[in-house]
Amino acid sequence: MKMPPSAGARQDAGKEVGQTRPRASAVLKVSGAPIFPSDVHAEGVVHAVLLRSVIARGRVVVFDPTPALGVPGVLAVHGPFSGEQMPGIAYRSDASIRTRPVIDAEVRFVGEEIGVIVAESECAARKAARLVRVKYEKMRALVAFEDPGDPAAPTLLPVGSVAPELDEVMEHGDLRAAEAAADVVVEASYHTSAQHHNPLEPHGCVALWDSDTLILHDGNQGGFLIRDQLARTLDLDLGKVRICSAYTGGGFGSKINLKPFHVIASLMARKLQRPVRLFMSRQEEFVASHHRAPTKRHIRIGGSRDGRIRFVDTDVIGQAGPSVFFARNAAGAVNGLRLHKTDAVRARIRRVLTNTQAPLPFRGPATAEDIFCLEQAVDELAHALGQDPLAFRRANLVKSDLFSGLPFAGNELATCYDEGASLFNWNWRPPRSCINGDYAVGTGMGAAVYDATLYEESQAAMVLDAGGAFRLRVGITEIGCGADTIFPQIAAEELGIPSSSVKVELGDTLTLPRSIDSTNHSRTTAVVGPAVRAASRKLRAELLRAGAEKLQASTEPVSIGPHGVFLARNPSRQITFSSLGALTGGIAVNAERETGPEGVFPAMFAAHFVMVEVHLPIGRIRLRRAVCAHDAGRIVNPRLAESQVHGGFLQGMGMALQEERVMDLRSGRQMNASMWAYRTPSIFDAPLRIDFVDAGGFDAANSLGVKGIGEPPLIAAGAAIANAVFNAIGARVRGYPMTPDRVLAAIRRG
Amino acid sequence: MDCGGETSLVVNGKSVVLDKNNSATLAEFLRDRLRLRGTKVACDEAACGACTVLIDGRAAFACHTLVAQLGGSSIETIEGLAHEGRLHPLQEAFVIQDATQCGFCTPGMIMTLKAALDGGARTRDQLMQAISGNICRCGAYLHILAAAESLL
Repeated sequence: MKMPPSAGARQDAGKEVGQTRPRASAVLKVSGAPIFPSDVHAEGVVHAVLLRSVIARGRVVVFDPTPALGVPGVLAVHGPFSGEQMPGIAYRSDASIRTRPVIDAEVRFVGEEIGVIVAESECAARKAARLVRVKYEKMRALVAFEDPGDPAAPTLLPVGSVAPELDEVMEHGDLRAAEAAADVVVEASYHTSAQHHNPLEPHGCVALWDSDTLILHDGNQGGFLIRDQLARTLDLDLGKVRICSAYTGGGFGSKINLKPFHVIASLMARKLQRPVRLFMSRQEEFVASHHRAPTKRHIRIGGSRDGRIRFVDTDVIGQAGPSVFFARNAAGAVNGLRLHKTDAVRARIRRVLTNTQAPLPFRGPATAEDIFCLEQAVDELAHALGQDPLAFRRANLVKSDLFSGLPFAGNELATCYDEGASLFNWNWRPPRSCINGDYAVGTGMGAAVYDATLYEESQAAMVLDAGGAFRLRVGITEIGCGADTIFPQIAAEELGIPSSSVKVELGDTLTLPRSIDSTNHSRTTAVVGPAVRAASRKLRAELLRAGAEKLQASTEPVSIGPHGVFLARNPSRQITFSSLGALTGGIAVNAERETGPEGVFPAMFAAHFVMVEVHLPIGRIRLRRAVCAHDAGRIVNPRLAESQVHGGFLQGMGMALQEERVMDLRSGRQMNASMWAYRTPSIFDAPLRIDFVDAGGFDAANSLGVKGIGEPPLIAAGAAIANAVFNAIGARVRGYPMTPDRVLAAIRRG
Repeated sequence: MDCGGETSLVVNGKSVVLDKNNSATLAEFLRDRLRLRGTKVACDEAACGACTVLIDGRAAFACHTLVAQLGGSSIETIEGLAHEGRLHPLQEAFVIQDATQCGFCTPGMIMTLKAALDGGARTRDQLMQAISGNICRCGAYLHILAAAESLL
């Protein structure tokens, strides 16, 4: 199969690293062959359906399953009063700190789990679920997060939980002096809405017990974290929990952690001694599979006539849901504050407990919400100072990390600006320069930074098996980012063989080394890649040693070629890998990750440039074009990186233009919990061109020179679009998503 | 064709008999009875296109089609696309353009585009119209479109 030329392949590309290769799982995926967790068939499987609260706050006082038990095929019902209580989840290393029990009478949001029905068929279970008689004692709920001080809202903290540390202040520099140095100060309020991950494969698992070992076929972003949390929650040895997750139908952050359904399926499978299949309906996917928190912020930003940003002062408030466990996902500001050079910064962050489901990380968690708003404020300041927004940012380049004081391991933000602007043909004109009848066209840009600091020890194994095949063994879940492809490329580069001859094994916590606890924070390449490289180097040394021995060349230099080990001076004397495998019975090596960088701060950078068209009578925004310049370190596979950029940009565009949870504030119910009512971008929403510019290079973040490309394309998208909208219509839309009503309101305000 | 309480349909070229009282959706029938799990159910509300299969050559949502209505029809699923171990050109184009990410929307996308191309789609806009009801949450649209366009 002929692949397209490696668009963007750089001069420093190796034979494998830096080259476009087809996605390793592509042939299976286009054939419908991968077994996703929701495709797993277990002999004797039964089906579970959860019962969920329909009120936002209160207690279940009656849970009568009698009518449900009459449905043919119903095997078991477990409710809040069904004898032995199910445990709460032990997210933290101290197993005594628990969430609310996974099934309980106390309810804190619409959709919280109050029971489970298991039946021979999913149809029977859903039918029975509707027949359970439930009565509640309602309490006053706090749904809107603007109103945290409501004295009528009692504490939502579960008894036995840790104390909340929900308020945070970040400061750097002398704010008062910086304010005095500012000639112009602009301030405005912005907000972002709750965004649902909405992965196409719903959350769910098939749980079964093999004597005392729990096996979970689960769609997640990393089996090891799920395994650790599940073992701790159920008080099992780690070796007695096995998580299998070869494929996952989308996650985007939502499938990182253990959730109540995992625990409930596991316990019901043990109780019934049958495999239990438990998957969310699409509605449950919205109301109980979490989301990106809505946030509000007030930003004051000041600059001086010489074109410098003097200070940023931000007040942020985010909706934290009913407990402290995921509250930190509700809001943040740290990456925005380190994006540009300033004299002083301050951010006051509040995370408000509410009777809504908890926020989970969503691609660029807390940072995207922050930079969507901050980069609009920067644009407003540039405009107030009468400067080209690109030149203004270019003049405020940051050299070191604000908080740690460390120089960046690599920082090609200037290259992102230059190469992105060059491809886009950036030519800034004042707002409302291009209005033609009902249409206004505008261009805008936005920058982003994302810390690459979330490291962990990683293990990987490389094998030449007795059959002569190379197998790379990594304990990760492949969620569609391309890890299944780039790790064989990294291994092949070290071994000097084609990546197509390296088979990758992943997605099983029992048989594979622990490579990463979970794929998140754009770090899988940077965390696992060096371990893959180290293992491959070790195997290479072993192959050379064994090859020399078999070639009886103890003193002569030997080399590795695509097919085997040969004498350097006489390549015709070669022992093939298959002979080497057969003669040695296979060679296996393990490697740990090389030590992390010291004295530098690793971070990813991006600059996006977009052109929008606003239909003035109805306020509808369309994207015409996007150029996404990224410093992601060295790119391993340009085509797959481009796929990540497209996907990230489009999810950011969804957040910027159309995706919004709509809540009924009185009942706490979501009004648009379906894919009809909550529309994620379709082909017609996408611009016809999204150009990826690889502005990075070998980065000192690690020995491979790689960083990440998963989240920055989302983070940088929103403000670039909003700034282009301002450029088109001459009015600011400060609330995301920029739906037609908000655009029209902004036009009316002027 | 009908005989007593039974009817039959053809799935990927093979005849399958079913009870006329079968209340399953086509998606359930394909996935649970025939174990053809390449057809994905993502939204189960006819809003995302992941379950798209061909019924007598036309793209249809298997999650919202009752199998008992399909007596005499010919169904084509993603599993029936490759021929003698060779990928269909559309599948091959998806591989080349990297039009898959997580892979969950892929079977529905490919079946939808196959119906469009077989039905005479000749322009990019017609291809876009065809997949306008197929959601790819990973956002692979431009590569998907490039793959389909390469066959125009």
